[in-house]
Amino acid sequence: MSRLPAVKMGAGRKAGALALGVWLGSCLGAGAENFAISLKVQSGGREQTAVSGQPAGAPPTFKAKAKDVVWVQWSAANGASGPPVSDITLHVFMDRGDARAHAPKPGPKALYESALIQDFERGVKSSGEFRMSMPEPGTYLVRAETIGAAGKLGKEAAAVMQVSVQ
Amino acid sequence: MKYTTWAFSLALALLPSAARAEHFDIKLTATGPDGMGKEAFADQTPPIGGLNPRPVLRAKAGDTIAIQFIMTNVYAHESARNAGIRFYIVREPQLGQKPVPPLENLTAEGSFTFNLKPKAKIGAKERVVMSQPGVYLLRVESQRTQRDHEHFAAIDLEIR
Repeated sequence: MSRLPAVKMGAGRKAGALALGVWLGSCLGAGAENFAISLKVQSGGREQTAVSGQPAGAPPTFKAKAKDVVWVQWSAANGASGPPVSDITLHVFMDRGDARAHAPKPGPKALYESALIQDFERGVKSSGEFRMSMPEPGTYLVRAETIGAAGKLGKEAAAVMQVSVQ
Repeated sequence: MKYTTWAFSLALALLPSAARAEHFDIKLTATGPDGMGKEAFADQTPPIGGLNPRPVLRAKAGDTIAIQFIMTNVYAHESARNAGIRFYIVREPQLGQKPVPPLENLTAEGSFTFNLKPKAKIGAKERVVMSQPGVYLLRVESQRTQRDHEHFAAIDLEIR
């Protein structure tokens, strides 16, 4: 993959945190243990799944070859009773790096990154997917995580997987 | 935090164009290796292919194209359960053609399913290697919004 200038992303960290804070309302209610994220990676008839709430340690690893097309799917659901949990950002990314790193963040050259903001009433589910060709050998991580849930559920939820491309 | 910065940029990017569309605001950009990019805004279908001419981004085979879109439900009083957004890059026979070609052998694709609430925001960016010469359609579109039309934004890619 050729080296590119990063897509212009605008304002800085402090302004970003401030704006995100404006976005995020307050809604106390469901427990984080009832907010579940599932992440699945598939290619060539094989698949690997990761779910949120797993103890720290080595995440599941999916093996692929360069140029393989991988299909990444995720879903998030609020299984808790109580009032809706509002303005949760569901953030998903795939980037080069080690999934064992603590709270990894995507860099400017992340292969994929998305953000979806929605309210999660009880039983509400949100999902997404993308399909892409893995550009070159290396170690990649895929992470689906909440942003803004900690203030409402007590902690954030994340599902993480490592993709090893040979 | 990088993601926080990006989330903020989603909001910022929406502000200048929020008044252009009646329901869904969309800003779609495609940027080549030289940093030059094209952008497109919300159009609607029907009619087939929408009303606006599509910008064309030209690049070379092997180049990586950075695509990014941000969509906002700007209609303040309506929600839709299980609404969707889909984006894709697909070959097309000619630049600017109105009909969407069959969605086969997609170069890149992705989708979201969610409960669309007023002011909801959805954004994604992806880096796609365009390995083969040809003409391609990059398109992001709303789905299942329970309205009589859907919104989209599109850019043509001419890969030499």
